[in-house]
Amino acid sequence: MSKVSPTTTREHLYMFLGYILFVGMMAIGYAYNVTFVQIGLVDLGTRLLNLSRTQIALNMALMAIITCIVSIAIGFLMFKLPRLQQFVSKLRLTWFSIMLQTVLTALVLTVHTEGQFRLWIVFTSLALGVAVPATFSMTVDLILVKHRGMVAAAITGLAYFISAYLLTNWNIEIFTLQFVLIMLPGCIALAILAFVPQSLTQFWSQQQHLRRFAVGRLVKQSHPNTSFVQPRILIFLFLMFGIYFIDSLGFLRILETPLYLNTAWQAADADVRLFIAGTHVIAAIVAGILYQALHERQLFLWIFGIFALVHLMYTMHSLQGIGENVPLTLPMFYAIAVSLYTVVNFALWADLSTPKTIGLYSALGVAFSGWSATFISTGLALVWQQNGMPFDQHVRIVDSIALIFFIGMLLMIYLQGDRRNEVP
Amino acid sequence: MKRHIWIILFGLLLAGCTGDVTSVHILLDQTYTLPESSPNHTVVALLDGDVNLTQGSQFEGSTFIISGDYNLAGTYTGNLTVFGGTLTIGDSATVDGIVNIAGGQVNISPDAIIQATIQEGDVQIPQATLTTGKFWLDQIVWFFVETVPVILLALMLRRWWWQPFVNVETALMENTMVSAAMGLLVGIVTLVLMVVMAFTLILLPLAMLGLLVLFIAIAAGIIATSHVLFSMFTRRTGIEINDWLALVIGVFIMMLLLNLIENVPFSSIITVPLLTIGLGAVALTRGGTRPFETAHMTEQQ
Repeated sequence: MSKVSPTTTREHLYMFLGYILFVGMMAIGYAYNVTFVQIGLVDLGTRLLNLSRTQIALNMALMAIITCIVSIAIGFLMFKLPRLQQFVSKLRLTWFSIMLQTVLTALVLTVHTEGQFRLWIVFTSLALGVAVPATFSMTVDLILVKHRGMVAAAITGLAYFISAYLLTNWNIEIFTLQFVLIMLPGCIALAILAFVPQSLTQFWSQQQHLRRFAVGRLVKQSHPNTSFVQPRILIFLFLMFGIYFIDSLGFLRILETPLYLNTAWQAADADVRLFIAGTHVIAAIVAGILYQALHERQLFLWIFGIFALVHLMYTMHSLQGIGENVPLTLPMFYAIAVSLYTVVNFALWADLSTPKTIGLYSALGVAFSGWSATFISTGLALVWQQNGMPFDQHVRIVDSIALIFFIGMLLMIYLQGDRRNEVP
Repeated sequence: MKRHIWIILFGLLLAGCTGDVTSVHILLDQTYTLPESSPNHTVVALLDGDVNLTQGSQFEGSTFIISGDYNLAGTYTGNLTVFGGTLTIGDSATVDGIVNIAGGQVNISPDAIIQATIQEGDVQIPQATLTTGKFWLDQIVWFFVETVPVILLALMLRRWWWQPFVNVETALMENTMVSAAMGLLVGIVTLVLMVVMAFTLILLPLAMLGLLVLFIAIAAGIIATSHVLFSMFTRRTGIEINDWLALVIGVFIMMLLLNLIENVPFSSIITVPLLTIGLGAVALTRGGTRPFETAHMTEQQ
């Protein structure tokens, strides 16, 4: 029977604590984005500030653009300046952004005019823009390459469980209270980690020098660290942009359609919310396992395929017009698709990167693909709704876009040839 | 060539999504009165429940009655196909188009105006007859009805598709969690996709074919899982047994186990993983046609 040395035990403990820090930080951050930012700000704008949907859409677009620019700028600096590639620097950047975001969250209810709202959005975009490359790039410091799928699954499952089940009242006042209470202790803990020298932070700082942390599984072995942006990255950016665009374009409309409200995140029935949250968790685990085993193209094929199917189901249901009963299969499939792509999003950019490139790639991936696509499509959805576009027509357009991407992925696989060992 | 066939099939599937249908009603279990004036070309599929076309109402489109009651008192134009259930054409009804009677019961009032062509067939929806009324006897009968085809499939796999079967077993043993995850995804998505396709009616044959393929894949998965488990058992206990016999005994025990625990509360905790692992292994190896290697392994090569 082999004995585990104290050093190994301590290392395991530190590594485990790193996992806890990363999962907690990313899960709360993601839950904040999909609830407070995406839904809470719309509530603030429409209910408290009496802004039109077009005005909110324009402000959301502004947020997307600034977040995107700041994020890519910080990511580029991280790519160019080795000092910013160090773990402690990332930790301090993260602390700065979370501190700023906590203050802004606490102050959101003092916003009373559109001008103040816009100013709030500018500062929030600044905080979010810093947070994206800083937090995502910590993957190479804290998470082993072989565990990234399951860690992404843990983040996704936790974030959606919090958003879909625990956060029950979707108005900005409640969101503010809930998130300030969560973010404040996190902010203090991060400050201690970032500014008080200690063995734990030193240990984490060293991990990015180990190959099993540093080089992602999708990094080309021949040129792992050199090029600015590879064509491969551009394809992934485009695909993730498509996914986020499809998701947000359909999701906001489904949420705001009374017929589907009771089988969505905001359902009054706690059992329905638990069902959706549970589906998110199970789908995230499935995605985490498959992420490690399948080629990325097949994962994208699944995601687009399920998105196309679920929007087709919503279209069919709305055309049938047979009463108020909405089968839970609809939100179940939506939750599966969303969990699948979220897991991919949390693991993909790190797996395409090294410690040098991760800041830039995650900024491009998350900020450009994620944020810009989300807010452009959210804005578009609001405008369509304002212009009176019927639900089935709206969802049918989303379905068509998903189907185009699905066919595109099929064609890509077909044109690139039938590689041996590829699986469905 | 194989890829071309897939593209043609996919093209046909997309073609099935087009057409000039403006409204679709799929009725499962409720009473529904059609609006006084239906949009051009409405499709109604009555799976169960009651549908009424009241006096003075006009309908244009197609109706498929699988089960339930369809009471027609208004003006109907289009195809009306009766597979089962009851169609009642009342005194005030006017029917124009084609009435296909493949089964069920059709009552036509002598005062109704029938300008439609009536085509009669003798296709009946089969009724379950394998019940004796005695619980345990029924259970045993159903067990054999389910088990014998699976054993026959196992023997066919052993005889003609042994290498594909080995591929499935290898995937199942070496990548159990991946198989379970893939099986869960394939199972849920395929089932729902087939139901959605069936609701379009035009794709109903494709949906039936898809379901058949799914059930064969599940059966193949059960066979592979039971063979792996039984082989492990014989190795551990040192029992030497002919491979054909091991296959049959393994499948028999597995089917017995699945049937016995069927009515136990929370038995799905056991049955769902057993079924999904096998199905996932079949999917990962594309029906056993190639060995499965994880992306990590192929990236290393």
